[in-house]
Amino acid sequence: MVTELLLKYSSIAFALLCVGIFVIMVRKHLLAKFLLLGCLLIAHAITASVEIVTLFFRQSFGMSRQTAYNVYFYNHWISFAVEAILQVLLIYSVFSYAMKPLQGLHQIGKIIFRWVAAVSVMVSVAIAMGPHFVGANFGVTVAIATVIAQAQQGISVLTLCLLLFVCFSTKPLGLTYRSHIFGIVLGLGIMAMTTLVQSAWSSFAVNRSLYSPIALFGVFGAFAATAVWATYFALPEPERKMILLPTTSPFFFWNSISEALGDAPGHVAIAGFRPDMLAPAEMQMLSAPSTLRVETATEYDTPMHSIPALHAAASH
Amino acid sequence: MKNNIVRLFVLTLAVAGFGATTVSAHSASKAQISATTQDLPMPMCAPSDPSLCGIH
Repeated sequence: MVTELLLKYSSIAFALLCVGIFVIMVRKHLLAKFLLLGCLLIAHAITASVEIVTLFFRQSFGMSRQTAYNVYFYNHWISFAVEAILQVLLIYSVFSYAMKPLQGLHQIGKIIFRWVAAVSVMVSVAIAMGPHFVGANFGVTVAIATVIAQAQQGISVLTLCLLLFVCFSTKPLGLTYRSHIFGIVLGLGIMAMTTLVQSAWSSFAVNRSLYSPIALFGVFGAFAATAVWATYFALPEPERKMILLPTTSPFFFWNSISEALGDAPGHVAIAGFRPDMLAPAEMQMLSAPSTLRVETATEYDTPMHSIPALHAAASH
Repeated sequence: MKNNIVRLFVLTLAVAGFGATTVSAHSASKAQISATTQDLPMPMCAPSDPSLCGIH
């Protein structure tokens, strides 16, 4: 009963906090900079509102248990998929913003990021298609839910990796621990840790009730993450510092290499080349130097008497 | 000092998260949806489950 009460009030507080942060972002003109975070907060607030109604105020709205659970189930999983996509895009935008000064590493990171996302989705689908989930007792709905849940775990690991990277690379990135970027990643990291711990906990849990302590842990984690965002957005952000790297810095070194790797390669015709493969303009360009040479040579070969000035000088 | 506290906190988060991933990967009880959630409780029962995950 105490767990349920705590769950109820912390869920309501979480939904209100999401709206509150959104308002702070609008008032401080931060929405354009962190649009995806704004979208994620609104998605959380809408989902939480629907779920609070179905979990705690079902009877007031005249819903049966089955209807309430169906609404809860589909709302949760659809919004969960939307939030997972938004979270990936948010992580990507945060990564791009953090790596702005190091364009070469940004390019390489973008490629790695896409591969990680693709592999994460493929592994999730493969796990969900396994014998544990596709069976007589587990329908397609549960299989889809499993795909989303597995993908979410992959996203959580990716988030924690990003948090570690940003935390230990603040200096080469020109950031401080008071930067909004760090605050956003820290909040996402708290959420990711909560998600992964919940996943491990639920593997051993016998009680699958929606009002169990596992759920309370999740709400507390989400509340802590949003509290971090609220604090960071309420406080003024320091200016991004000038980045001064030693020439021996691995960041500088790898950035230079990555920039070179990003260049488009040149091509050389080795064999099978015929002049008719060239366009008329290319032919003109290529033949221009030889034409000029012929003209110059003709000019030098011109007899002296044909040049009036020289002819006059010679006769004197 | 302050920076070290932040780093320690971040490391704790990462170790807890990665440790939990290892634990859930080794758990034998996989015959249910892996619970992951960001805000409210995750429905771990199928809609056809008579228990309806204890909703009341």
